Amino acid sequence: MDDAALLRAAAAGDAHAFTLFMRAHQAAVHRYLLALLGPGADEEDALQDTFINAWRGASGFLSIGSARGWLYSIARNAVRHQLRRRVGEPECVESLEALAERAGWGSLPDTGIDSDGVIARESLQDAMRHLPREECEVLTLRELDGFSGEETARLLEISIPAMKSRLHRARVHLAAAVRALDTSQPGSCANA
Amino acid sequence: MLDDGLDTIVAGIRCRDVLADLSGYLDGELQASRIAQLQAHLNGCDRCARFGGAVAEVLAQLRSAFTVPAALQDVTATRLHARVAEATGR
Repeated sequence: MDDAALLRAAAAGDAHAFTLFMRAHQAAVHRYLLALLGPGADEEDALQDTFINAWRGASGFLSIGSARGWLYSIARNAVRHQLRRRVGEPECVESLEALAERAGWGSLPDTGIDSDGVIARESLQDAMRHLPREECEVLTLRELDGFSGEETARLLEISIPAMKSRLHRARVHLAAAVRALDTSQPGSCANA
Repeated sequence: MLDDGLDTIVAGIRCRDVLADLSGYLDGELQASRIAQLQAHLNGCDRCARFGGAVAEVLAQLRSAFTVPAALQDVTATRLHARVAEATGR
């Protein structure tokens, strides 16, 4: 059975079908939540909330669009719910050019990448957590989860040009954050 | 080439414009003529070439940084399945 069929069966009360659907997606959703929330209880709560809400809302899945996209929209709500519980810090907005300069444009090779071209895993994880949530989210969906541009825009409820613009900024911002963490650059626009 | 920061022009294109097109370039979304223009710029502008390379490298390594360790996945999956079993009444 494909995802849509599993969800239809789940909506009719077939818990086994739902377990199969969950097994197929739990690792990817876990990674998505880990990228957005960081490791800890929040991310695990969000994972459980996602699948419990998916079970309860299975009848709301319309076979238009992908089941994976539907599931991620539920995961996205779970992230929002967890983030609302945290105390937010104001995000500062820098120009793309300023971010590029912080990412090392004009002063390379000091980019936070060592001579072997390897970036420490912890640096990348920290850097992602230093990004504004919207940027972390678009990067996760496009770069880690492999959603197409159209799917990502739909999930984020924004236009494709807006998604592209956000993705572009996020990529440059990530490079800047990696460099800032590895070289202790001042002026980081962190919100983590 | 006169060094004018992001307004430096190489091969007829400002560095600022290369920056704006970087994602489109990395995603292969640009037209062939634009790609040729950007490549001409990158051939003559070490800063942009290295910067683009650095951004591409960060993205390439991002995926491996976010693999969830198998042990953590097992523990989390066990708890997840228990919670969902409770919810589904299995």
